[in-house]
Amino acid sequence: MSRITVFVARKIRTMEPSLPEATAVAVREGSIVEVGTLETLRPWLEAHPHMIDRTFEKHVLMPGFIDPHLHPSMAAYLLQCEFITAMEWQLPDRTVAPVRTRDAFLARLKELHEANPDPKEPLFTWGYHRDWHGEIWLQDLDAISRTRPLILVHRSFHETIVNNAALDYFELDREKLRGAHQVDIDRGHFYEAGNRFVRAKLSGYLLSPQRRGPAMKRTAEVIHLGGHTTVGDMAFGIFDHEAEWAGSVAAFDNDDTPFRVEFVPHVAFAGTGLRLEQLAALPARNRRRLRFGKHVKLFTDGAFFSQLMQLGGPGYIDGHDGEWLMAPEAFEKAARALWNDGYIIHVHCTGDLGVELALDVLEKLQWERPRINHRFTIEHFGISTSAQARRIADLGALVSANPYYVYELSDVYTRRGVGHERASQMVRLGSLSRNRVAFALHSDFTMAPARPLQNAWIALNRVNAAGDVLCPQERVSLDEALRAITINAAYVMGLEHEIGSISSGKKADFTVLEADPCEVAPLELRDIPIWGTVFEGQPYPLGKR
Amino acid sequence: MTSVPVTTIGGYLGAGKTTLVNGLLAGDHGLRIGVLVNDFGAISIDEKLIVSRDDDVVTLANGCACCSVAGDLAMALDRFAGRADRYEQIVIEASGVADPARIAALAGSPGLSRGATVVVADAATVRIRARDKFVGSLVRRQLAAADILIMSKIDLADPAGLTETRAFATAQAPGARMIEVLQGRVDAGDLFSQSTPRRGRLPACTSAGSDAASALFESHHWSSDAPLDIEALRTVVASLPDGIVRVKGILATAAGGRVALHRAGADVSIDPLDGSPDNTGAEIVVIGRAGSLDASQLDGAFGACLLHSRTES
Repeated sequence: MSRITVFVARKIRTMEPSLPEATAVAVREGSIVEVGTLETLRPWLEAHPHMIDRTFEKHVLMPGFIDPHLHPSMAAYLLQCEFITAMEWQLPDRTVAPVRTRDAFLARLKELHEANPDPKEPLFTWGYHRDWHGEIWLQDLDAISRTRPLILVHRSFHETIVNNAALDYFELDREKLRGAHQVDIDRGHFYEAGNRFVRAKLSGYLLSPQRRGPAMKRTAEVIHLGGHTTVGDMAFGIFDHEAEWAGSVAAFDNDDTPFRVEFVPHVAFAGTGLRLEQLAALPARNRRRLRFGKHVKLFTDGAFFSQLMQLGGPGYIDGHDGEWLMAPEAFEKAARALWNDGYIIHVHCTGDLGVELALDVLEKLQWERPRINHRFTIEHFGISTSAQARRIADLGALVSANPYYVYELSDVYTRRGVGHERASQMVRLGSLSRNRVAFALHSDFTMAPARPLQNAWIALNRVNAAGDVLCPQERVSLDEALRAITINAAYVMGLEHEIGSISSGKKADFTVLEADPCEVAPLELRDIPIWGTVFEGQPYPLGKR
Repeated sequence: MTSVPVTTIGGYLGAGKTTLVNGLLAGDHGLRIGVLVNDFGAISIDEKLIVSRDDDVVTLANGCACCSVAGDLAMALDRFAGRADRYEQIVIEASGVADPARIAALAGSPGLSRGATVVVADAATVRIRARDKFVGSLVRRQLAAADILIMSKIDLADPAGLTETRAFATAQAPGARMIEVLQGRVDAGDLFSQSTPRRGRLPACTSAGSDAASALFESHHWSSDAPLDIEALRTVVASLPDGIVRVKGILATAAGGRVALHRAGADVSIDPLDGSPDNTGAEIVVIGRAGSLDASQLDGAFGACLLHSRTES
């Protein structure tokens, strides 16, 4: 038996209601022996060899943060781009300041171009959005460089704008593409279906073996930076499950990685993904940091960032329709098979009609074959109704919400698409709280920054990027916000016996903070510096990997 | 390089798209059709007909091929377009939740041209689906996108409700040509022979001269200002040679009403239409395989059915 290590801290916020505060935690072989004070730990310490580690004497320990829903394999692509974004993004090597005008965007692009001495190296940027940055086309990019390929990847990933050098570099045939649907070759513009012509070339470049590996390492740095010790890959197999598995093993299955990844496979629809019989074999692959449980991912409606969520009456202001990602009957059929096989089902639902479908099916399945403790989880929870919040409670379902929608989109969606009432109430966590529904917060990274403290800050304050407070009635308390990134996130993943709070027998996963979330002003929660993390008893300071 | 026409087959889940696709793949239509399908598993291909499998493309003895979309439809279409020299016609089976108009727009790619948007509707359920709280709006949008509306499973629909269903579909898909089928068997010529088929306005089938498929079919248009003997016409149409794949017409009756004439395969149907005729005469279009039409023979046969010509003789 190894020696016990006792971490002494200024404060330990255990997220355990039975013992919410402590100052010392004893750890052995990656697990917590006991939490309390040096005084209460004495029987253990007298009986076993131990050392006292005072590294965190001035720090506050919390349970390691958990993001139950992000996409590491997608992040590898994004993290090779320079960020020029309307929102602030914190990255391992820098904080990207918001850029919110056309002039500022072009100036920043020029600066990035001039900072890179190799005039042939393609320069990829991500974050361009017409709402903020106005119209930028090939001619504007050519004015910055005629020799270096410049590529603007739109914030939504649905559009790309390139210069002439990029057309040449990626062998995009101007004559062949002239007049192609959703391509404006003279402006270097590829969008929606037309985006495929350029996306295939960019993916081939960015996801080449020599680039993918380092990019996955940067993904690991981003996850560490947010203070996470557990993340969920909430749609494993969406591109190619063997390639994703191999990429994850190569990048994460080593002692440099300060977190574990829980894979939630998405189940076959439209010809892709894993089939039921393949699911059962996945847990046999489990390793210390990479694990499959008995969770699956399904989808109802379209993307929130693209206003393709399905809205019930009265729909969108401009009258357009959302999308179904699975036909409702196909969703029901898949959900029934998984339900009857004992799986925990996570459903991507972005609009209230998407939520309605998930709840209708859940109610039907409960009627046919009741299950207790089924943990059926609504993922994202963009637009919903207060009646649905109550029904989620009635049906015993859970919610894993993306509060960043409130921060980035509430302002725009108020003016365009959705209107004030529904846009201001998006991600109605207060209603969930009033109905005693357990909820977690997630980033869906790369759709939003992987920063649990920022997500908790949004849930607590409901302040958007424009500085407005959106529907304070849907705020939640600090305790609920912190539970949503720790113990309730563990609960949504079915891991509350193992992680999510600091108590005897659990994994010794801690997020080490420079200030106490319970002592700072609510508006300062997101600014608390993170020292680093402890993963299974091993300290991992930030910036020293 | 001539462009390959792309026909989109849309319609909600369970409407009969796959049955239609199966029929096209196995059909004796003489066309080399490349079909992009949603779900390979649903396609029933007789193993004896398969000549090769490569890159997810199954090639059949009749020159047709079938490829799974597997994720990104647009990229699958590009892969197919890259082998366009092998196909005279590309068919996309849209997902049951897709807007066919958006899928059809993908044909605006190099080497491709846009064919008809075919929407399949289950006659037994389409009216219920169109009111459904989750998919009602989608189903109505699908119907509205149709150039050709195929009403499937007519045999399963409540006969009393069928008239109402037809009226509903006509209202939802204004201008679409309607084809009613029992088992999803539709003549390939019906789907591919026209570039912009519209109901009510009889099509000029050979106008799409650049389409590879149109070169395989020819059509003959016959009209008169005088009414025809409907029963005599029925006999004439039923006895046309096998190379004729389709006959359709709108005819005024002596009684002042109007009827629609259809021949698909060997079956001739003449059904009353609502409303009063635009003119007192007849318009008939005959579509046949290239080389199978004898215009003067058709003119003579139809002319012999004119009522006034009888009276005069």
